[in-house]
Amino acid sequence: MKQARTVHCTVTSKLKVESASDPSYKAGKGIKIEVDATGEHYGWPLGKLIEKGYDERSDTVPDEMEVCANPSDDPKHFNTIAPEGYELVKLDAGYWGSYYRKQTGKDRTRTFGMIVGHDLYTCRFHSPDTVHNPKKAYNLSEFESNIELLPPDPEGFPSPARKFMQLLLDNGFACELISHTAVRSSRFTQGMSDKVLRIFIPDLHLPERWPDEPQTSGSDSALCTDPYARQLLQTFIIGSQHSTGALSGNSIDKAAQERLQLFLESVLVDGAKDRRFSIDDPKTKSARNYSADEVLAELAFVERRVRCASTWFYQPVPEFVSIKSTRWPRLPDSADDLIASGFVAGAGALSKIASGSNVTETLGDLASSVVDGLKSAVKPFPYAEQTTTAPSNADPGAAIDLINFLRMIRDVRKEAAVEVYQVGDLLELWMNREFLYSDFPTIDRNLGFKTSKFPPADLASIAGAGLAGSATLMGDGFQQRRGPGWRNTTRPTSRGLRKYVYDEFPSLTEMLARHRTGWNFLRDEAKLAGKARFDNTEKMYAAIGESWICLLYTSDAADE
Amino acid sequence: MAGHDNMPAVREVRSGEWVSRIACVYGVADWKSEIWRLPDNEELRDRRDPYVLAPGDQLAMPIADARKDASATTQQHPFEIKLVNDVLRLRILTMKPGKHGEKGAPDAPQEYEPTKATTLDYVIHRASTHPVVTGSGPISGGKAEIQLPRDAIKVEIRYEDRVDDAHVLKRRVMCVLGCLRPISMKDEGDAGVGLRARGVQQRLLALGFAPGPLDGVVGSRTRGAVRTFQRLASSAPVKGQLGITGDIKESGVIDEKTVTALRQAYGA
Repeated sequence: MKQARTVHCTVTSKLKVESASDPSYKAGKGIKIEVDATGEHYGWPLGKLIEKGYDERSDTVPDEMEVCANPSDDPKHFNTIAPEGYELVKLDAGYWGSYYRKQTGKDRTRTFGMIVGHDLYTCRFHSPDTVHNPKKAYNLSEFESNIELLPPDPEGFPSPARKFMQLLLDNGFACELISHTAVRSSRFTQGMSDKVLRIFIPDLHLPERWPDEPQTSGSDSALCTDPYARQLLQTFIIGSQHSTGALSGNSIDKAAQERLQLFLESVLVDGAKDRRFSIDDPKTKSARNYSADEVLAELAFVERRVRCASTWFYQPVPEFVSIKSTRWPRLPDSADDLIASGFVAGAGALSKIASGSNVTETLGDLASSVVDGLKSAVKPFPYAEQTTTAPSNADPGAAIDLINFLRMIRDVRKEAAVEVYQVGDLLELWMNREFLYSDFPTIDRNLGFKTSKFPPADLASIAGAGLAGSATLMGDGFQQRRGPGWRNTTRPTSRGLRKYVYDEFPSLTEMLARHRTGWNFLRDEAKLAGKARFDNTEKMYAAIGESWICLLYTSDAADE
Repeated sequence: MAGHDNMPAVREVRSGEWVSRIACVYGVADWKSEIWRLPDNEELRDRRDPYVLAPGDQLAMPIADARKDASATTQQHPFEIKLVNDVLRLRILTMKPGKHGEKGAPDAPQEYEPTKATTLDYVIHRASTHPVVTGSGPISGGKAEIQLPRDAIKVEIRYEDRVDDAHVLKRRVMCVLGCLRPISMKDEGDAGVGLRARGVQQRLLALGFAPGPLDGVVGSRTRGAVRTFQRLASSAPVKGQLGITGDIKESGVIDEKTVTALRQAYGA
């Protein structure tokens, strides 16, 4: 998904999505501005979602309008009516990292989202410290005026967004406002207080390049030998984890996604190893068949590569330690501690580094933990253990910036109500967890869960942030997502296999609740997670405590 | 002077009423001179549009003076009181959702664009047992006018609204008469603030700035809608379009200038 993208959708009074448009769209990118009024965008049935979540709509599209009578002899005395349909604004919180993106000075990929009341912003975090190319250096003062773009403070209290932006400036950072949308008041915006700043941290792709990217040839005999066949299969697998629809540019439709899911279940659960999977080859106009092993091996390869591309802090190599004091002098002491023990998430990784294990072992450990859903069925699993050495010229700028950004959030929470949502897929991996919500017991009945054991529903990459209603959320590609209904969409819940293919998330409220990084939320869930995934709770707490994301939970300021 | 024998000296206004409607009830023909311009109504005139009253307003009424006519018995003698019928005059604007200005602010309502169906259909509901009145009239320049029977209480209108080149929505709006609240800054106290807030909410809603429930409470949604209106109403094109003459500042606060601008934009 393009960074910092806002898409506007028009919804009729009957709650059907009529159109979606991207104002910043430039022709020729293969994405249509206008999409069919099917009510589905980015594979996301907006109409269904709205109907499910918001039945009442009298205040936005009034059936009744209170008017006055008018004197017949005074044409200047009249009533005005301008009835309006619903409006939804999708806000893509963006992207944080440098992988796949050019790090071009001011235009770096440090985007995040802010919502305050009726105002939505896509923003960019700036820190001159991490721009170490002198040609791309810039002066933060040029962003100082951005704070003036905020709307006037609400009555009686200063805007939390203003506080946050000022705090960044005071600490030598800056928040650039990339785009702004103000939405109208409606039932959808209910509860979106302008006293609360909601910060949305996007997908995090921290390493510039994964040092351990799987090789595309070689060691696994299960992989296809034909590169084109492999590419075709990879495209299908990746597409199965994307949202569908015109704007997503995904050639794989939902039916195909479900077909893959059924195939995986039959092979991995039922043991039907002799089954074959066919994909239409657009070149030959015929079906190409793959064995179960070929599909699983390629799937494992894709899985691994996705994670490799997006989930890792570089371990501080000696070169980094030596240059840190000059390049990143403002990095806090506590971050120093973190750096000293490695930017690698999770208790296992940290303890290994702390005990002298090298990075390759750590990566192997991490990788093996993220593929367990399939590992048992695919032996040997060729890419879980394949590791290489991190490059010595790694650029940890994205990670440095993230730490400082989190530090600023921590500080502003002492004096303003701030809620933080991590809408990418990295929070889970920071916790040394495959996905925080995968196999994750959820007990929050406010979300509509009826049992304490809730099936995997990580929805890991809802990369958008939304007003409750007038703004909504959009998915990002290339990550796994699972909806709450994944177990019963095709087979009984007892099958035990996670759903691989994409599912849209069920409701805005649920999505926000899942991605909220509140202390209470995480602590309770972490206890349960500890029982499920760690030997004991102590280790789980250690994992949380050693992760920098815990900074977000140490303040009581904004937790409700 | 004519009038009803039971006409009170002071009439407390109820919801759904306006001065000419009250005059009709009591058979007062010339409501302007006989009721509205009474010296006792001077204070009310200062605060109110005679078509936009608030429930509880005290309206001084004239002293009933029954007319005496000598007529023969055993004959029918029709008497007609010439009452002026009011109208429902509408300016229809179109909200074009999904289009935002450069700064991300929603567009102001746009001028109504005619569709193939250039008329507005209506059904007038009445307080009496008389049947509803149906009809249709032209929408000319985005405006339509409907003659109201004296006992009209609400009017359902149906028309087509072109929201963009590809979409024409069929609008259906029930207009409830006599329920628009005044927004005078001269209303004081909590009751006055609530009354004004309700009136502001009504106008914002009508103009497409959905402020939440019409509850007379200035909450975050109302404040947000006020802010959006102020933001738009401060731009020259929107001012011109909505007929706003003064300058307005975005603050989220319902102040004198905002009230004036809202009244101008709404039309009452």
